[in-house]
Amino acid sequence: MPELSDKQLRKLFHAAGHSSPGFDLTARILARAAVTPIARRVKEQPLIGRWGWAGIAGLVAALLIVARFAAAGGQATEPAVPSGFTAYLQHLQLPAGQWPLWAIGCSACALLLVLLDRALQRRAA
Amino acid sequence: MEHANLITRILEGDSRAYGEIVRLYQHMVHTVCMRVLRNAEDAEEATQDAFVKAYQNLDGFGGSAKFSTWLFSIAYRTAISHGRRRRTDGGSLEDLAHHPPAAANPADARHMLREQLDRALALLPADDASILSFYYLEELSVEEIVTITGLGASNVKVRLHRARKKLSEALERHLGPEVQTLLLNDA
Repeated sequence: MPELSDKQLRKLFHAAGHSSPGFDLTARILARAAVTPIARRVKEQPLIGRWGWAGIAGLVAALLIVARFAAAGGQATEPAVPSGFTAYLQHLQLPAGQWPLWAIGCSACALLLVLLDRALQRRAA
Repeated sequence: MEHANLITRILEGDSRAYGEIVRLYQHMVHTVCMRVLRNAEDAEEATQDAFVKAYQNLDGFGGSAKFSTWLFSIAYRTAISHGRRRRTDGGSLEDLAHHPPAAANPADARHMLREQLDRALALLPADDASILSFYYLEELSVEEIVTITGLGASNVKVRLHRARKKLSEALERHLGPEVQTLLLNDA
């Protein structure tokens, strides 16, 4: 006999039909379902919210500003714009050379958190 | 979303609505479990477990796939898990090819035809028999079978081709007059 065609197989499967479960299967399932709680879906919250991102952006911007002022304060003999803020930074004796590194580090951390957030969201989906 | 109204009612606590879902799909789910487990008793147990699991996780059904595909996926995985557990317990697979189920009513041509098809499918690996059922009986697409089984699309196509060939050979060997009549009438 040659290999059966798609049409013949479909006809054969449909003619044979589905297998028949026991007559009281529905009742048994419903009895078990009645004592089974429905697991409620947990709403996925982003790891860092909108305000969190605004805070991080503000922090990074502040760090960059601080880094710029501290660097300027450390290199120049006379500050271009002498102000109370510059004087305060100089008073703090900030390690001028390391602030850009801190800013880059913070940005890298923020980026890693974004990637982690996306990965977790994708996994949950 | 398919059955959106029924699902909303169930999630609101109307358990009778779930009865409608069970009545709609119990034959299909039982067939899937039967193809994998090849034993009526185990298939009934797996069918029950599949429906309870589906009920438990109904809130997680997002509607990205068809409800039937989602349910079949749960049924298929539950049956596979039952099959593994049974093998671990030291039981053996009932070989329908050698021990066909007794016909409830020998005059029932449909029942006899199903028996012959079951016997032929029992000669195939459970996965392949399930894939054939999904494709020819439930008329699911390859993409839907991929979602249900978790196999790759090319793997499903290869298995489908191989299973079709094996089933033709098995039917040739075990072909009864009912199947012959059915196929000969196919113009």
